[in-house]
Amino acid sequence: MKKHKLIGLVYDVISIFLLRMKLICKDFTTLASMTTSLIIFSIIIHALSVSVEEQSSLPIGILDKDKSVESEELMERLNNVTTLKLISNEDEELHKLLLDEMILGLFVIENGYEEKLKRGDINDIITMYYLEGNKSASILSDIIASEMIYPISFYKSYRYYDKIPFEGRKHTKAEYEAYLEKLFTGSEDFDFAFDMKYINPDIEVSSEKVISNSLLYNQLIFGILGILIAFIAMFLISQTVREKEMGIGYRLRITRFQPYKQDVGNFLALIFCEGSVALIFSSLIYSRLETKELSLFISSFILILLNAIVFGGFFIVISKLVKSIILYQLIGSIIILLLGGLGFYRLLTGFYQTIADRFLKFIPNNWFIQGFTDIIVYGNKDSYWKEAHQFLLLIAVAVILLIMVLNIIIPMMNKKQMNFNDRMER
Amino acid sequence: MFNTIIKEWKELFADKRIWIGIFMVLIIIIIGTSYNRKKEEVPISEKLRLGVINHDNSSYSELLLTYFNGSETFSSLISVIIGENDEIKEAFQKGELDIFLEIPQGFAENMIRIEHLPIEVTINIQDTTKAILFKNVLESYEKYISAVEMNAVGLYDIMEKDGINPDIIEHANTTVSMDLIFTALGKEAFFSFKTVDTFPATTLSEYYLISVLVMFLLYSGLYGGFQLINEITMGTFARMKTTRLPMYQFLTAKILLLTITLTAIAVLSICFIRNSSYSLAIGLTGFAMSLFSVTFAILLSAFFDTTQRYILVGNLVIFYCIVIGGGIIPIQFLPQDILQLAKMTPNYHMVEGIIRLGQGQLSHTYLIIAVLFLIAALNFTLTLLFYSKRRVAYEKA
Repeated sequence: MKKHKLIGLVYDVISIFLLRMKLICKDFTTLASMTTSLIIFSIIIHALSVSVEEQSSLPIGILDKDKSVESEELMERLNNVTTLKLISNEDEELHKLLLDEMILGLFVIENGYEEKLKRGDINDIITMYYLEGNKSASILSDIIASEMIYPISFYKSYRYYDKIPFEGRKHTKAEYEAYLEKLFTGSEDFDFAFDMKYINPDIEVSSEKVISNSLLYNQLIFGILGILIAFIAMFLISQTVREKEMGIGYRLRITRFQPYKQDVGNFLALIFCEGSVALIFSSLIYSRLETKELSLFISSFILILLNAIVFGGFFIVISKLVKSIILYQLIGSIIILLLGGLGFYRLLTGFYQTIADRFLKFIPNNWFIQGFTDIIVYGNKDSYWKEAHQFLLLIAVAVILLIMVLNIIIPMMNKKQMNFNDRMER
Repeated sequence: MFNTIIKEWKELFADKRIWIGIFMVLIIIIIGTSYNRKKEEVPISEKLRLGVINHDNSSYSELLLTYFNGSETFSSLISVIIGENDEIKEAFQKGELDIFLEIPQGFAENMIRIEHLPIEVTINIQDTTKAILFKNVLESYEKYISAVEMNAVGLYDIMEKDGINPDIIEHANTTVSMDLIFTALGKEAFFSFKTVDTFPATTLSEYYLISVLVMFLLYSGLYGGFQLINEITMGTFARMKTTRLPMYQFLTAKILLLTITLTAIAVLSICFIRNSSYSLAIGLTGFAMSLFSVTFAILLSAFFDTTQRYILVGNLVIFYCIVIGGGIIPIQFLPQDILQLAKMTPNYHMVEGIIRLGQGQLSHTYLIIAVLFLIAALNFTLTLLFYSKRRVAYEKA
């Protein structure tokens, strides 16, 4: 008897799954929407990934008014700093970029820069313009100063040397400079470096890789991918709302077909469709990873799938609560945009720990981005089942439980409403 | 026309869901703005937290630590906690520190002998933004140390080679080393800092609140077209055509009321977000954006017979515009290719208009307002054309 029931259950679920797949394939609107979304998002993701290195740098404006040997050397050194993206232009243009917030700061190498350096007068040799409230100003000036410190130190130490009273022959400036260059070129003795380690104290895992600036920008790409997955889930589930609107839901109730079987069948269809998308994107991500380990591919694939299940669950909940496809689409789109925006907001303001941070960290988009960050940072050092996977699974289970509760409550409420309507008619 | 406007007013505010939607958006904007203003001052708990374990205890390392604690620029962003080995490591494990560094014993002495004892830096990677920031700051500090070392050692070498008196060399070495160290520590003096306070930077919170407002206006505009299609479906439009009411009056009443409602919300929200009082520029900006949203949506409705298809396409168009146009990823982070596409979306210009308005760049804002009015006029004209020619189906008796 039990075996009979189990076979019946599996048969019903597979029937719903096959029906849903047929309906998706035949529904031109859903297919067109999903295809268009895939194309547009893929273009965005491609554009973001191509310009990762360039966009990861901090854009600053630089204007050389001095046009001396020292100022040009400084410009050249700054051009080699990967953290910065230098934009040179006329004064007015650069000020406009600053006001448009397309550059974080404007550095003007003032007239007399070289003369002042040689004199040892190092105060106010560069003017920095920045918008009030821009907290990155001091960090930018630190990075610029790090390229200025060598020539400043050189002139200071040479001037001191030049002033030392000595009867014998002293080096000339050119000889002094040449001697220093010969001493330091290729020498590792003067290549001071901090020994940096990156550790997550919560899971006691460290990263042996040097963290690249492009990691932050890559996180934006994962955020966009998360929004795409959610959007596809919304369209896949929208059919159930349309059926409800057409009255098919009520007719199905007469057949005593349990709602949970429908939900499981719908979930299977969602996983099947989203799984195909997950396969494509995890392959693309895997191809860009430095370490090629199967566990990383599996990790990426499961992460995308879990995100799909979470959002699929959200939209099943919404589909049970709303009666109109119009309302469902509007609510769904707004939720996706708001959650996506909040995820990016937390990512970009991660600099400060704020009160909002404590709530924003529970957003699925945040965990989705974090999961991929962990895959890149830790590689296969930790297990392929990362913290983000656990949280997304937790959220997915919570959403599934909510669906189960709604499956119990909604029929009860409908029955009460029907009884009330009956009484009113009598 | 007056009666039509009254009718639109009653229809608009009869639906409780509209009130709920308006209320929720205003709540989000008010809460977001209040939270944003409270977080303007960075309290100590929100600064980056650096722990230091100083095994060296020489005068050089003490001097370095005293400088960092005293530096206004450094301490405005980073709070430095100096402690013992176990204390600092335990604090890091508990997540009370973002980073800690260990100055090894004999560090200063070995620096002079160009024997580098590595300074171990342990960074908490849970927050990648902070970790990358620290990495960049430390990499710049590596250059300070290398530059000072190179020149101090170079001078020492050259003086030795010249055959200068060893006492003079020692004295010079100490004097120059200290001078170069203090120069590096006093790097802020290299710069003359000038803030542009007439145009304050837009915080990310403000940017996203403006984005939410623009998103609300675009989606709300869809209601106008939705109502129109509903009226066509119910037959109200057909009955209206039999009266002498001109089409332009009918459309104007529909557009005007919704626009005025959205304008009120937009103006209120802009004043909250930018923390400014009402001005003509704000009023015009709100009106232009609302008018554009409503006329665009009503023009879109002319191409559809059912509300479902209309909402589906309208929803998709607005969704893609928001994603591409800087609604999710701020404009400053968009690559050039996407930025060119973003400039074709209306929300990009709307967000920019409000930002420039807050910065006082009124010429830019007025240009955007003028363009929005122009496009709205064009939308209205096209809508009038399409709906005037729209055939009404009559059922045969």
